[in-house]
Amino acid sequence: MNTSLLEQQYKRYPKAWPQFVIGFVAIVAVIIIWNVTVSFGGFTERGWGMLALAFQGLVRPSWAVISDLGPTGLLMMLAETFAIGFLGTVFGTIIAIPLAFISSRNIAPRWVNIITLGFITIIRAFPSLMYGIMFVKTVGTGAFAGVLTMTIGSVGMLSKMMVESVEDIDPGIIESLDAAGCTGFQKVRYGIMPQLSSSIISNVLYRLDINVKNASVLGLVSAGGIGAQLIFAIQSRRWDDIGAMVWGLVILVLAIEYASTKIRNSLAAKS
Amino acid sequence: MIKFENVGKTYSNGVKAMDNVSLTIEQGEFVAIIGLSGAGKSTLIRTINKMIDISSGKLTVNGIDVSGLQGASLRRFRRKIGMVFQSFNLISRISVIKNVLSARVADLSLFRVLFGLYSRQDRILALESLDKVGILEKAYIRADQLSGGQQQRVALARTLAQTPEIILADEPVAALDPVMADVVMEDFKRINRDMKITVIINIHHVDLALQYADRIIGIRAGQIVYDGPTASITPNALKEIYGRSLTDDDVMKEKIDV
Amino acid sequence: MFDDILHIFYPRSYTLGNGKEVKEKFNPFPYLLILFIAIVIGLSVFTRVNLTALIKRGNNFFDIVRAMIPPNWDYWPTMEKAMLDTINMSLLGSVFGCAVALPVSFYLSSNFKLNKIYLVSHRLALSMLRTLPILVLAFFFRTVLGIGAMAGTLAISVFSYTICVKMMYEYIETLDMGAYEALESTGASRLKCILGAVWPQVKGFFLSTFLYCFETNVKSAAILGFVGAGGIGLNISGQLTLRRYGNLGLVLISMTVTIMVLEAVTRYARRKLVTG
Repeated sequence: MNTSLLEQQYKRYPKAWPQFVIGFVAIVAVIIIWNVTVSFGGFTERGWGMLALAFQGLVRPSWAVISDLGPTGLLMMLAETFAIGFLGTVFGTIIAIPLAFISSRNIAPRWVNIITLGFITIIRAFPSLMYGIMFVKTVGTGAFAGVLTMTIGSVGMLSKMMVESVEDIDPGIIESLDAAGCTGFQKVRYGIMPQLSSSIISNVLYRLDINVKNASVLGLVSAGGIGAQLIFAIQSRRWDDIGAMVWGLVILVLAIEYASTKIRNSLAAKS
Repeated sequence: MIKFENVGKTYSNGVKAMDNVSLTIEQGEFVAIIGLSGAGKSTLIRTINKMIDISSGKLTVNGIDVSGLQGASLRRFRRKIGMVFQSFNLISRISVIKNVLSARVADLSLFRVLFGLYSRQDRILALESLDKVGILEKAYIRADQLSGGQQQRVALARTLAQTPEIILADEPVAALDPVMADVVMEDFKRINRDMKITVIINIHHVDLALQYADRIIGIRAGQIVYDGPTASITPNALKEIYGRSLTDDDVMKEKIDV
Repeated sequence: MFDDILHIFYPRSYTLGNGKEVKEKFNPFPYLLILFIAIVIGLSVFTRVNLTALIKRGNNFFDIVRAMIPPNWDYWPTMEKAMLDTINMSLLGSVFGCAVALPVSFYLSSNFKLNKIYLVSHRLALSMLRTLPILVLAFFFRTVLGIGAMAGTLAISVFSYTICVKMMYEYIETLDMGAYEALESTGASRLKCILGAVWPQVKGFFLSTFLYCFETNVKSAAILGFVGAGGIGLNISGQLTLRRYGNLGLVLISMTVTIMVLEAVTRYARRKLVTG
């Protein structure tokens, strides 16, 4: 037996205490941050009872809201929410594609990239509800302000994702089109778009999921969708109505998520 | 002593993997189980530590009825039986020594497992096990950065750290090149000889089985068709086990003339 | 020329030199495009999209943006606490959400062959919870718990929990179970097998998921104040309503800087975790 090497290797065994120190520091940090930030004042107005009522609302949603086909009925509100999310995605994509191209290192000069990328970062840093308020101030309350809000949010995320895929494209194909004497437009149409279309579609569908989901809170700033009614219902504690709206929202979002996952998977299988 | 008495195993999909198997393996034997893939070699080995349950007959290990074991008693029983796998089954991303030490978790308290606190004796045992398979100097390298042969030796060291009475090895050299296969088989042989540990190996390559094992058990379609010392095996017996003449696939290094 | 346009909609047929007739494949794309445009127009009418109003009054939007420059630096002492709270809430929420998610995600992975009915129902409940925007959760908790960072932290915790559980069990299901089997064969209990063989393989991914949650939650935490659930959102909506755009400018600058720093740090840390 190799005693000296054994001893040597035994000494190299890592000490156990650092993980306890790190763990201890992390726990202390969380406790301190908790005390700095959160003051727990206990439940308001029999909070537990309200949880039970909320659950009851989910089990027994209000049929009046579900069967109402008018503008304050569930169906119309969901349709408006969907429309805002859908249009926001479409318009956002239309703006994001050219923006992504001029932000990509391999398409436009560097100084242009830096300006547009900075612009994209700033767009992304702001919460979408803030845009909601600003657009309501600009074009008035209603679904149109919501569409604009969703558009600007989509531009931020989609162009960032697209820049990554544009910068990944194979330069050989563009070179060969160059050699064939193609114009700039032809290069984009025949050299770049075929390489990008599936990743763009997949990103756009992913964004559609998010947009429809987020469109449901625009009502908070009077920018359309189911949000306004939902907030009123929570404020006045109409639990049956909340139940109906939450179920509607869940079904709508799950349906879109399901469809978009299906399409994205089939695209991924094809490429 | 491992004793199979008329043991049968039928899977839920109707496949009969063991059919009326009876055999006795004494402590300290080096047994190679040979046969075509799908003959039931793997099933036979895995019934010994009840990774697979038998359907009929009786299986006893050191006097303990295996099919009656479950829960805590099964886990206690398994601690004395080591197992080595074709694909090594190491924990990637962590060091060799931590892999070897993982064989000790069955005996540790949950708190010690959670924080990876191994006792001094366990750490020495792990290093000694690595020394026995000759890779002590690799103790602090990440397991997934070693070559296949070295990984299998780590797996063997892990099994030794369990201080087993029996080692079951399921195709331990099938994923290795011929040179490494020899080294690993040599390790098995040495461990069997020096530590009096029973070694039962499933092996597809006839030449390695004949070179290292003391006893050969040939299986075909779930039945034992040959059981005897390595020295007395005949070409006809091999033909009976494989149902045909040997091909290049059945040997790892060279054509054998038996 | 006119003929060419028509042929976009139905396939041409060619007669080859040898008299054979070859038909082009039918291309549904133009029809789908028309359908798509019709849907977009229909929905635009439905949501009262009004481009003239946007063009005519678009100036208002940029007037607000212009009014934010230069930012009012004197506002910093007032908003400092709220900005810190936003980061803290998101950190706390991510810690709690992911801490609860970790053991549950093992329970929800199909590799450990646990109760099927429980698995499916719990996963279904999780995906339903995931469909609710974080703001709705925050509003609910605010109603139950009262105004303050507690409601926001709880909302972020629930949200992080649903995201983390899903990412974790999907990852765990891709793992090689060989090491688990090896430990099982040494006679270790299921919990010890998981701690000994699976956790070392999951650790890096878990920390990286936690960082991802933390990073995205800072952005979500910034809007929770809109419903009184703590953080900088209250300042954003408040200063916007009061038309103190200089103050708003400062809030937005600090948000941008925070998010850029966080993104850079977490990107670096996650790359380390995934490779190391």
